[in-house]
Amino acid sequence: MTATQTATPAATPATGWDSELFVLAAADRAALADRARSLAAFVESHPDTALPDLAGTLAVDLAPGGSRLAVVSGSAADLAARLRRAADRLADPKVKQVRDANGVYFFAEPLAEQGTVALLFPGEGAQYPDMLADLCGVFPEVEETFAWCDQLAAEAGRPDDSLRRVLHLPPDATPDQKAAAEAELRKLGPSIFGVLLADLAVIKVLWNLQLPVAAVAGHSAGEIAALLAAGAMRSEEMLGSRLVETLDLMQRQEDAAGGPEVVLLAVGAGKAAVDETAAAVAGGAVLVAMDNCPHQCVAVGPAEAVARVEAVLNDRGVLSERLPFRRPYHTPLFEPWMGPFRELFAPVPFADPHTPVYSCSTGEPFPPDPDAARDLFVNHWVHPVAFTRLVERMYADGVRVFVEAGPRGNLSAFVEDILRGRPFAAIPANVPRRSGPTQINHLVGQLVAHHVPINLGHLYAHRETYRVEWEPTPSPPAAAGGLASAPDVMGDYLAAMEQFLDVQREVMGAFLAGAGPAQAGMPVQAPYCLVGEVIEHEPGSYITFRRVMDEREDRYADDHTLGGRGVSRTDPAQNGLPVLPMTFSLEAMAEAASLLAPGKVVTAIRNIRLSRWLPFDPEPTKLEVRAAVAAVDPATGEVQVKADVRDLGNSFHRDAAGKVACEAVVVLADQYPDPPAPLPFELTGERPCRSAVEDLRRNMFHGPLFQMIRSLGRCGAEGIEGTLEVQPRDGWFASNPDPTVVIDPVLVDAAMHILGAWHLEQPDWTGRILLPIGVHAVEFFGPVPPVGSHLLLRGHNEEETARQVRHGVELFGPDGRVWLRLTGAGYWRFYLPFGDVNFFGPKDQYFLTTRLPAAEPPGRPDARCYWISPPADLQQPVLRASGVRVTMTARETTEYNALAGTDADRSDWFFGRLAAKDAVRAAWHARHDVATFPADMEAEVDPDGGYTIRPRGDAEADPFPPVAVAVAGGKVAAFSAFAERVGIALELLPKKADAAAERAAREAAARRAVADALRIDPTDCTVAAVDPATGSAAVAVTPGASDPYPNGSRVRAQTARTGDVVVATTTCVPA
Amino acid sequence: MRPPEHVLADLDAVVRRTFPDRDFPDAVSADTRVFADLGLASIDLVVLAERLEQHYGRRLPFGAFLKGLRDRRADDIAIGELVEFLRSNLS
Repeated sequence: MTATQTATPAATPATGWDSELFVLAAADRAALADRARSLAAFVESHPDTALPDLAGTLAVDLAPGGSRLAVVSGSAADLAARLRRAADRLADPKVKQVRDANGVYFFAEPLAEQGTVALLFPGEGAQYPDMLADLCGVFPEVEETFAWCDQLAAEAGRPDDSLRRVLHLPPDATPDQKAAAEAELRKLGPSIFGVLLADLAVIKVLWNLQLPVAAVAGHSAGEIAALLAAGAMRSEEMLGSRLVETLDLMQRQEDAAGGPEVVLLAVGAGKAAVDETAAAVAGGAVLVAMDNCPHQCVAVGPAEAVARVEAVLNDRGVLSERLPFRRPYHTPLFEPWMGPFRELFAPVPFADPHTPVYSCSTGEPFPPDPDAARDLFVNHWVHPVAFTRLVERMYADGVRVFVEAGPRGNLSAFVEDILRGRPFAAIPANVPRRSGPTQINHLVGQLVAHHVPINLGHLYAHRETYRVEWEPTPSPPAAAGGLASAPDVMGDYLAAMEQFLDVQREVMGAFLAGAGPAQAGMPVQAPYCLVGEVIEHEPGSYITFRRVMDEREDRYADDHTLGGRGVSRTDPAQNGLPVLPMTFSLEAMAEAASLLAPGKVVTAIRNIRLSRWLPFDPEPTKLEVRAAVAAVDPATGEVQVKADVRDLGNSFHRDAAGKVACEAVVVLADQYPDPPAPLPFELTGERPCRSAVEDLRRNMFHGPLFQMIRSLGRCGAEGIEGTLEVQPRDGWFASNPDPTVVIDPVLVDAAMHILGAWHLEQPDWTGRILLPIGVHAVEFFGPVPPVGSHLLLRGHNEEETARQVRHGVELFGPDGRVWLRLTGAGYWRFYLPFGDVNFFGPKDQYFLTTRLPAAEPPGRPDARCYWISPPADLQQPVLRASGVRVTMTARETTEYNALAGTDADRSDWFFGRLAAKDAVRAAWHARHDVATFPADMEAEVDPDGGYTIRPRGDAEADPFPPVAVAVAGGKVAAFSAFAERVGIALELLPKKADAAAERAAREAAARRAVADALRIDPTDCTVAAVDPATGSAAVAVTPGASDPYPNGSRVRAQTARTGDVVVATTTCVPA
Repeated sequence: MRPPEHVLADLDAVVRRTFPDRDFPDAVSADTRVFADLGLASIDLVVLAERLEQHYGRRLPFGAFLKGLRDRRADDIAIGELVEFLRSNLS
């Protein structure tokens, strides 16, 4: 308990958690409904289950993406009933969303995939007695914020005047005391300051929930909180006794104010209706001070003029209500109050915000110029609030989720009214009708259901919860030689969270003092290689830094390219798409953690989750790393830091900007733990590796910087052994030959290559493209081994399924003891269509498309038809972009990057060119026995869809043989032959097509292929005969339609069916 | 006066039509509370009033109704109260 709390025991707010949030995810809604029913059945059969334990378990287990359901409930029986009802709703395909005010949320089209999240801060008028009092007991940051007003009052020498006495009443307050407090709260100072405190308290809760915020705005006085939250306004100058004094002064002005009585009238109609009435009966004396939404505005004016407007509106049936105070905010009538305000804010430094702030007077983002921003902010008190315009503008800028970060929930209702009928969510963090904890559960539940990434651990940070095994799970990792079962990470985390409170107090105290935003934008000395611009840093508490991702500087990236290396003979430097290695995300988080706990060493990185690739963009993008101290154990000196990594936008994942790509908990201690005994390494079917180190290198996409494996030793079902040599780090960065590292990310990455070697030893190579999705833990038992060390390395195969594999690695130090242990490394397997060819091997030897010999005309041994029905994996934006990088020329890649169309357009662009190149180079190879890289060919596509393929970078060169391309329903086929005319057509068959349907499709395809080759209308082609046995068709051409050839003769086409597709090709030889 | 069950059915239908993106309890009864159970906000009540006037094709004295609630410091509105208000003004 703090000293100030002892001095002024104002309230006993701790009511605790009166409900819990239960979150479920599954691959699709049918599976989600099944899980909901399973959970309901479990709860029904185990009614005594501790709900916080169950909720905490589900929070830990929540997988990224998928279909998601969130349920808020306070009892087992109620939870089961809601889950069953939700499952029934999910089973109804017509139901696109479940948004039940009682706390059931599901969205088939989650908003996080459609836009960004913004915070809206309410201003005066949002306050209500005891607001957030019941959150003080569950979130220490809320308690700290309100305790701060006790501190301010004590510092001002008036400890009995703490605003908290009015904000949070003791439970035994009499009705008279309550009425007096309510009246006090309506006054200028208490209303503005009270709401500001509540807004700041909510910010801190949201910050700890790690809500990704793309923009902020405030309504009226809520603009103060918005500017503070965005780092646009320095807090220390104003969030002190000066603000209190200023508000006191203004209050005295108000109390002493004479003159005509001013009335504020809330009207249940839009601004236009009120303006019109005011103009008609009040001669402009009544102004709309707040345009809140189409069904509410606030009119202000002299009492008598307002009465006339009120009477007319009431006659028309428009609802209205006089507000219980008489300050003419947001009109020129407020000018007499402005002197102290202008003085207060004149010296306050404004800065470029780290998050865009929108002005409630203009609806536009604040201007970048600090003085202009200050003027706009200060003068907003005498200008109308244009909330409708503000929300429309934020929506136009891509905001889809509005979180109201303050008390009451009025702004959310305004947003509901403004955006009615469009896809959006407006969610209050606090409402008077619900307990604080329950409303937080509703807020977080809706965010989860909308796929907004959120740190659910914060809901359990101050409670001890235990795992509940409620559903039969796949057996735990059958780790080679008995790996200990995965420890309860959440349990560890939460137990350590006991220490969180003390740390958090310091964090919040510093936050209020403004130390955080003060450093915004200030570059600091970068002791570690990945630390760029520090956005905010509260030593010992939290840090956010950014770093530009630029291929020119980040040379390691060119040795880590998705799609492989050496993809062009013409340009040997052309590689696949550079992506940030997972281990660089780990290094970045470890660096952030080390800055928060200087002097300590990183002993582990736990609970690593990867949700997407971070590709290097043609335009340099920025990486942002956020980290916060989550727990401190004073007894052991251990510190846990929760961290995440994201990029601030890339052209491949246009919607992913700002979303977390990798997150983990970094553990630091005063010294490294003693190395443990190695894991057992008994190999079933032990034998020496068949592959050589050279084979491994050829089969991975890593360049020389990452190639540390020096030998491959014994191998068996459970694992593989080898050695590596630690390589110098001077080639990683263009400008930094001696980077300072915490974990040596290249070494950790290279150690994992032993797992690639294990896969090479397996007979089945399909599904070998692996995307890491998470790692249970990487533990370090000493400092990074010196460059040049030769180290023993072991890979463990923990578990393998069709879609995932899980591995472990142990790397031994120069002393032969374990230096690094990596456990539970989960990989997602990608299935790409190469047959038995090597994705990372030479690109002139493999084809992403498939040959369809049955569609090649007989008698033309060097004609080639290739087709592809692009698998979902290959249409995934980053994999597709990597496909472009390895099969297209630089000019084509630039053209692809600039494409403005839909995702389907990008697929058609890519797969059309890919199939054309594959058909052409196959035909070329058939005639000349010369293999060609697709990236050494360039496609020219005319407006009619005609393709010409030439050697790369030589527009004058003779083209390769002619090629024709057909696209239908995303499927693509191409045909190339050394012939004067080539044509192709592709027809999709209906499901379960019978012989008649297939025949019709063959006829249609044959006609269209001939029309394609002759550049005529298909109606001028008639199919005379199709031989279903050979696929050969004779097509008659209307005389005169195509001169001089075939001049009325019949020509031959070849048709073939594969699956639900019929392809026809032709060289228009006479039939 | 219209039978209460008819007005309740009207009210139920207008509420669902007015707020199509929200889920309401399967059975709305006289005891259902507008704010606590249906999750409506006060602005929503203004919108609902507008839609009810459109539905019945006449102006209804919602201002007086809401003032009465305010005067007795009601913190929620039971659907039953709204039904009675509608019945007495639709007769």
